[in-house]
Amino acid sequence: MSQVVFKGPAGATFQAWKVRSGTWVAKGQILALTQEPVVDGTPTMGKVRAEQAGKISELCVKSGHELTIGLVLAQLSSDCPHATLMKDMCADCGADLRLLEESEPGHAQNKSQAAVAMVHSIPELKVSSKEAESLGQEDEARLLKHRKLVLLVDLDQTLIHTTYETIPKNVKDVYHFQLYGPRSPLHHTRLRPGTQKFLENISQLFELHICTFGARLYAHTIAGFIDPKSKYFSHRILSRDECFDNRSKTANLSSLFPCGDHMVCIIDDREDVWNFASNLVQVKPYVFFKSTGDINAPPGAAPNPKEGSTEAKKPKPAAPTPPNESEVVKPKEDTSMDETSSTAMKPETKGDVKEEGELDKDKKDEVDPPKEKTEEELVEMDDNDDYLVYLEDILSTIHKAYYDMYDQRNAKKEEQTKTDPKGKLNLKFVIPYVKRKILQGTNILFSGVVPTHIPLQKSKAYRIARTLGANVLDTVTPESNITHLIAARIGTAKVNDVRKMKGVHIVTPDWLWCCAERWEKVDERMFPLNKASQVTLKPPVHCSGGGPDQDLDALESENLPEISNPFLAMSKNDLQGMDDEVNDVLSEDNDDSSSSESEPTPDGDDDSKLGGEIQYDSENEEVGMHCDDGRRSGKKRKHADVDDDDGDEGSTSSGESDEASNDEDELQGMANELEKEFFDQEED
Amino acid sequence: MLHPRYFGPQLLETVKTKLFTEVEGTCTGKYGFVIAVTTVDAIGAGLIQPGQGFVVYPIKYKAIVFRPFKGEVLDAVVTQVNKVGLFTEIGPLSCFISRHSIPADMSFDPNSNPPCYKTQDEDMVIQQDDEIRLKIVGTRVDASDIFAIGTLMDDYLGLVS
Repeated sequence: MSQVVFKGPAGATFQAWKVRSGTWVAKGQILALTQEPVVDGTPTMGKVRAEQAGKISELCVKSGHELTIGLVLAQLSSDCPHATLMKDMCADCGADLRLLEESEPGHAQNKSQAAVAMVHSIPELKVSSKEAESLGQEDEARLLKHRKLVLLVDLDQTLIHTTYETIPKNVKDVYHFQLYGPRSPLHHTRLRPGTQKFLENISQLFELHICTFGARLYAHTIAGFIDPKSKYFSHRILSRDECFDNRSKTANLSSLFPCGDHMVCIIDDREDVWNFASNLVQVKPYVFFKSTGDINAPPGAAPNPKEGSTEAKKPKPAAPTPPNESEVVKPKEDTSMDETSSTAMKPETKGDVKEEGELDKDKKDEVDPPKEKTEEELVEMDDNDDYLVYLEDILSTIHKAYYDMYDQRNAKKEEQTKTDPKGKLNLKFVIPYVKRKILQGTNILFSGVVPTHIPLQKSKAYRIARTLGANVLDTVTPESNITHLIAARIGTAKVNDVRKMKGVHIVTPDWLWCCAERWEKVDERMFPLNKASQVTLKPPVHCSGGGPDQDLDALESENLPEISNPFLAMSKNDLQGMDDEVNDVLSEDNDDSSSSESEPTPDGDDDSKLGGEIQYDSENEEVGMHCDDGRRSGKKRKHADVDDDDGDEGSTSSGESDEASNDEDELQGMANELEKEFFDQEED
Repeated sequence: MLHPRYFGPQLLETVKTKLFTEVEGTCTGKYGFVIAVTTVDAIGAGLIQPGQGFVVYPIKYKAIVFRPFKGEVLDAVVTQVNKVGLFTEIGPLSCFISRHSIPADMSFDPNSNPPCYKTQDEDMVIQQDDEIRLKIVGTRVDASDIFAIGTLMDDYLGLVS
């Protein structure tokens, strides 16, 4: 440590520093300007130069200070801490740390603590944690001043959807590009409807960062599409190349936000990559190209290894590629399709590996499902069209809540004139708080939603309801003041009980999913429970219902392939079929059988079901009609059959059998659940 | 390295063109960036590679090179501005200027678009695509690339207008 001392002439006044604290100065560099005493009537400028190289650690005088000889102007520390490193070179003094390392092993490591990659796109640039903290504090102060928050935006399936599939050139609003030269695969990207408006509005409230698992070039190309003037994201783009961990994005948070991520809000379609952080707003995945999931999904991204494998297969069930059927059905639809719908085109029909005879048989069974699915495609388009509007509302609510609390807290602080060391308001608490307000004051009762073999508290539906702030009851009691009954089917004991009470909304589980998706109390009248209502038993994947304490069950339910797109739930038909089967087998004449059978079922589907039932019955006879286990195993076999068909129809690549077995598990679970429900009713 | 199919009357011409395409625009740690080959002094006797038929020619040539040195003052174009500093390009050479090496009176303004470093009274603004004069304080020389660290902390450095 040395000092910069003023050496005269006496009587000068200090004018301005040319350096600031923390600057590395070379020998002879001008440090400051002084105003020397007027000698010949002309004022002269004096300069203070550094006598040795070093780093300014403290500036001791200010402008206008009278200088005397021997006055200490500044403290100069001769050692550069190498606080900012670029490619192992100190960006302040220019020293090459690799050379230092060679000359004195261990020296560089000891001297520099630069380990934090502060800038999204340049991982080589590292700053020390102290430096990072001061930069982070500046950022934070700036954000607070402009009343903004940080928003990390995921790209794939959140704002855009990209595919490698062959897509006609003439599709509206789809960008085509090749990343790696003319021979690389052509990418097709579709922006989620309303992206521009969403970004425009949300950038008023948030500082936007891109955080994606796409390659750097990909991320920057996409950023060019969605933000051509780079006014929303600027250089704040984090891609796979900069990610520390190829499975999780959480690791980068601490370096991007060295002062803590308490002002960070995240939107992503997957919560596992963020380790189920509570400041994550999980969005409904955007699927435009049916046959493609997230092309940049992290490999084996989940803590549960199982999810990795299902993730890769996720696209397939969501995109049943009906090889021949699509041509059969398409002409019919085209007449009814509007402009947007024609852009929602069919995925390329993949090579048909099935044999002809088998195909004919399948064709009969499955002419109808594809049609239904394409119709749902339209519906989904409409849904997608407005999801960003909801998301915008969610985010502005969060923003408002944060700053309302912030103001309150500040007001309190002023009153008490007491500074709280932990006074930082954390979005991780604000967001769950906002979420809890959505259904606050509602008392929910589930019926036929939670499988009986799973305790209520462990079910996903329960968790979702709780995170939304609802109170979940488990029995009908007059004093419990039920406001909502969420029932999967009509005719259950609970439904019948509640029917007698007044002022209780009886809704399908979709109501809850919809509330969780939009973060608002959706009008109950949109989801009435009646004979024709469509029921999705499993919550869609984007309805986040839990924290890190999620158990295997929850993870598994997230893995279900069909829920990557709730509308395409291919098990819906199967479910219906199962319902019927159970009814037939038990030959019961309660409301359920009538309700589910009265559902308008497509002809083709009926055929398949009929076939299934016959087979099923015969199997049951073999095993023994009244044996519980036998029935279950028979059912299992039946579902395996169904799945095989689906697999053949929907996918051509390998991994089909895995998928089928996966579905089998799932269907088995559902079957058990339905079965149990029935037995419960019987007992009632 | 020349393929046997070029053996013929245009042989030496081919050797020269190949030299130009292979050498110009590359970077070596020893000589820096090779900008352009000016003269070919001598083309030595070719050596046929055993078992291949390819010919290797030793060539002496003069070229304009760009080798940055510590202390050199250069004009650069700003490519990126962020809170940690400035990224610039000096032709093929990229150079980083830490925020500590930017004069104290200039501060980072992330809210302007594009982000910039500017003085309090905004009479000097450094933003993307601006031309600045900097001094190199350190270089990182790799086998095929050079990276430099620059500073603006000296007389007559800064925005070139």
